[in-house]
Amino acid sequence: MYSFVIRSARRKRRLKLAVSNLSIYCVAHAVVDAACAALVLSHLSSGRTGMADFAFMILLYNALAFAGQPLIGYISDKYKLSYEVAIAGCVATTISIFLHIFPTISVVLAGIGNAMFHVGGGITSLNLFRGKAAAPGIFVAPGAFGLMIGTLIGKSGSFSIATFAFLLLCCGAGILYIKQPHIDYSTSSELSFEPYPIIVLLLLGSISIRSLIGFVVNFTWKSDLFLLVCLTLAVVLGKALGGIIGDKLGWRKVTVVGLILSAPLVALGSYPLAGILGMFLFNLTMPVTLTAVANLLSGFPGFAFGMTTLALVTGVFITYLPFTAILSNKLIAMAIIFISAFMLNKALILYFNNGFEEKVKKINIHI
Amino acid sequence: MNNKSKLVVLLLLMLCVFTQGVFGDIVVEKDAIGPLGTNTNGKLLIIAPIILIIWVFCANIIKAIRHKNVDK
Repeated sequence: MYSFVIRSARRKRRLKLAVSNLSIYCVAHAVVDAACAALVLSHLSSGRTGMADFAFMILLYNALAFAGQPLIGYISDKYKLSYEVAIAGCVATTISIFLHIFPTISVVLAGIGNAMFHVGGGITSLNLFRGKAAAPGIFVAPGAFGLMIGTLIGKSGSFSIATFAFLLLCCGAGILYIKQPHIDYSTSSELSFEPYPIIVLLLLGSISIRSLIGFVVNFTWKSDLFLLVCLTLAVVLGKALGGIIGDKLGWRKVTVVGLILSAPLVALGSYPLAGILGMFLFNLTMPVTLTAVANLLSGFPGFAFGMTTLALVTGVFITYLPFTAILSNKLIAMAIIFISAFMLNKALILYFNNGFEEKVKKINIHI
Repeated sequence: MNNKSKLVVLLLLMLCVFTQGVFGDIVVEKDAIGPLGTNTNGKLLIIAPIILIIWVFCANIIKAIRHKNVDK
């Protein structure tokens, strides 16, 4: 009875900690992404840059904000920094806004600030309920919403320095104020793996996957604001619920079934309802893959989070290549989603059949 | 789970992540960039190899992490 009361009290404390952290990090995530998108896009709408410079700025921003995360993550893990990096990210983004009259400098700072915030938030969210996908999913979700708001603001030319600076600093202060979770930097020989083929296989993977990306960004009805909001909400909900439902019903069931169901819907993406539902189902996989990668790279949560974003930006860069036109074929897009579902299924079968989840749990219990 | 299996799992997961790239978090203005980065005055060709180098660098970090785990 006594132990039950203690367990219950601990659970409550943990839940309270998770709610407070996720609340502030989710708001901050949306604000940081909105500020960065608005800043980058405002350079074009304000006429400060021409199209060529603007295109380069987008490349530069994406490269820094996403490809920079593994490096920042690794340094954060090495020096055991988490919320400090997130706060530094908020501050760097704030400075970038004030330096908006120097487009390149501001974009570089925004990219670095964005990367730092994501790494800090990623480390924290991965450690709220260790080994579980719910918290990372909830943390990642609002980014899409922030990006949509920021894009609209940036394109409309109504970018407000004071408003964004105020919001960013409030977010930084909020992160500093809340109680932080204990971050797990422990490693184990049980969680080690061979490294070398990773380079070749990941490069091959980056080539194989662009089709889907090239296809999906062509939702022509996104120009309708209402439908754009619905699509963004579907992405947000997909990411947020993917982890929660996955933890409850099983990662494999939710993500593989979600991916398979999303394939025909995405192929029918010219119909808004199908596209929106397809995107919801498609995004269910995000928190699960993120958490699984983090579990595999146990003890390096920042680096693991960064590796997934490096994978994301690599996929985006591939869409800039010339042969993406053939990918507008819906059957090819469907086929790629099915291949993706097959790969995920295989990965999760190996993950669970080899008792990996149990090993992660065992290590976490000993902390 | 042997080491090879863990590696395969990690790779498969990373490949799956590739497919999730554009739906939300990344600023994608394809019209601005143009096919093959035509609007970027060739600067895409500078950034793309850097991304590749980061991949190689990260692979080495993963190798180091593995050794750290094993040593422990």
